[in-house]
Amino acid sequence: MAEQTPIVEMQNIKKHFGAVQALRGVDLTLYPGEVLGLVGDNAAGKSTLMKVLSGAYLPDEGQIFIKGKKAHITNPEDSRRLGIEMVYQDFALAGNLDVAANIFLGREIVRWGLGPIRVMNKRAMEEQSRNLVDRLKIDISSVRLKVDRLSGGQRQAVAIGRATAFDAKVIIMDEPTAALSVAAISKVLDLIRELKAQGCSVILISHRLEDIYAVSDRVIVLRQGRKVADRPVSGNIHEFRENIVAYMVGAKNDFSQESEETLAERG
Amino acid sequence: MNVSSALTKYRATLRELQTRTPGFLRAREVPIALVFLVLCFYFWQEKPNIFLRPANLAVIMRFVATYGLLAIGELLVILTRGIDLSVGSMTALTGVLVATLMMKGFDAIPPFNNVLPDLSPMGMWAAIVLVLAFSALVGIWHGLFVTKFHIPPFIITLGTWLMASGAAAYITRGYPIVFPSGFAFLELGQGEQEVLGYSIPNMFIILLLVAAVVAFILNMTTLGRHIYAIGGDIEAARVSGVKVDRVRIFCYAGSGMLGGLVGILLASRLGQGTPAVGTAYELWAIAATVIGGTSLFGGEGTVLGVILGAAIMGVMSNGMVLLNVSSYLQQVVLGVVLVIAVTWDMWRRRRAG
Ligand SMILES: Nc1ncnc2c1ncn2[C@@H]1O[C@H](COP(=O)(O)OP(=O)(O)OP(=O)(O)O)[C@@H](O)[C@H]1O
Ligand SMILES: [Mg+2]
Repeated sequence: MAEQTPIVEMQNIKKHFGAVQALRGVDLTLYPGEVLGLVGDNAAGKSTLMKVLSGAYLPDEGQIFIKGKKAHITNPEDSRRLGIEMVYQDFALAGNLDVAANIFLGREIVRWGLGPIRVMNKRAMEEQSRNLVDRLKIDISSVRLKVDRLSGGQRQAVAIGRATAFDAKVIIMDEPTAALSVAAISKVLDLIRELKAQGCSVILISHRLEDIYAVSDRVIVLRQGRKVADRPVSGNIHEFRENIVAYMVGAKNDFSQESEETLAERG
Repeated sequence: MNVSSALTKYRATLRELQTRTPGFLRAREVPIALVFLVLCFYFWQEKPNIFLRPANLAVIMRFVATYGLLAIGELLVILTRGIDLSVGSMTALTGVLVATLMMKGFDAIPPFNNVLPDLSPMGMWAAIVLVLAFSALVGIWHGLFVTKFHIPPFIITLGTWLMASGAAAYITRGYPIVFPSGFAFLELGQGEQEVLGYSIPNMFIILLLVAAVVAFILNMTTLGRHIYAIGGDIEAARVSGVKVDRVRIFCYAGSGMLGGLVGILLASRLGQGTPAVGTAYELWAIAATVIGGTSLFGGEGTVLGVILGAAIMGVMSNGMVLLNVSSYLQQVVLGVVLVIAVTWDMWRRRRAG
């Protein structure tokens, strides 16, 4: 796998919000057909890193390469065009619009266009949404239901469905199982395996380490805006969990800047 | 049978009724339309000889056109969680501008009066197009401040409100610019068209045309869907690839332009461009949008609802005039209607959400 060109390569990504240094120079590589787990404590910078990749945030510093080519991702559209989709932690759905409108938001099927006037083909969008909802076995009575009326689990399913509906090459899922029942969680994990089988790459953020363990090939641990571990998923679940938690709480660090620290100790 | 079981049964019946009603009857405009019809019926049976008289209907239609056009502009910005407080004084400024251009010429408007040689008065259509373009630019100006500098829409449009009313008075030195009688431009706001034996004021026909265009944009085009999406959740819209800044600027431009259109129509209707016109019109327009079921929290509201809102206000103020209600009391009543509309909307929202 290491011989392949990474589909995503993020180098030295830095991002701050006011006084908060959310990312302090993070590298991340993702290979085709790989499921990468991204974990870390609250506020470690996981969502921020992924929002940089999805174009929701502009990084202060750092570079992104897609299939080895330098990419300039300045907004969510750029990222979508490069085949990257993201399921946001807060779902990013417009509650006043119906399910079909949300699935196609920002990429509506257009019947005809004249400059800025682009007339939608609502029927086609509704039909395709219906098919998607059926295929993913999402339990929603009608795609014309307003998202406001849906349960948390249904919303999460719609958000996941939207990200997987458009032949993306890279799918980022930020806590996709947080609002789900045990049965629904296993459905999402199956979906991730299926995406992988189809050749998609997936980045999965989750606090549920058993989910990460179940589907990921590799895991990256962030702590306070830095990468502290990047290793294949191996061993049994207990060893895995113990290991990862050690990285998360700062007991272990594979990337500590030794020279700096030793210098500081001597000085 | 105790109270709570009776209540449960009542609720079940209500739900049953709701699921059995066809979709179009469940639309939020239906109760608003009912209120409108009840009002019409009431004033008609109180004043059967006057209320439905063509001259009286024309008065109502001009009222509805004035506030309806402004309210459609407010609808655009309110759908995106904005507001436009400038439209009232913009009607004064644009009315003054269009009159000055037609009666004197471009060189009569400061600061151009100091730099331009004497020009002749402008043709009617050239003046109208110029003023519409100007008012759209003012709207774009609002949109730029709101989107690029994150100035609250309330503040930036309040600034224009002051500037526009000041400028209107400054340009005219406080005096109206009066059109001579028989001037072709006056036909626009005063004229009527025969439609199926009824004479409909031009202003009302213009309202219907504008309403059709805006309703088409809101319902059928991606732009309209993006306007609603921004009102629902602007961050969600942004990460979904909606060009949120551009869409919001469009809405402010639309509101600005409709303010200009009403300014032009009122100048024609009154036969003069005057800085005294338009006071508090923005508040009446906002009231019409709210009575018409538009949510001030954005993302909900329709052109049909807004026009019904303006129509309710039009019929009420006309009816109260016919019944000799004091004009002070009329305002009190309209205020009460507004409060009821907002409260009802909140209640409905809480029950649904
Ligand atoms: N839009 C923002 N404005 C200001 N600060 C932000 C913003 N987004 C993130 N932050 C800050 O950046 C840091 C990293 O946040 P981030 O959301 O990336 O963490 P996370 O690892 O996803 O945490 P969680 O597990 O709670 O989702 C936090 O301190 C957060 O407060
Ligand atoms: Mg997060």
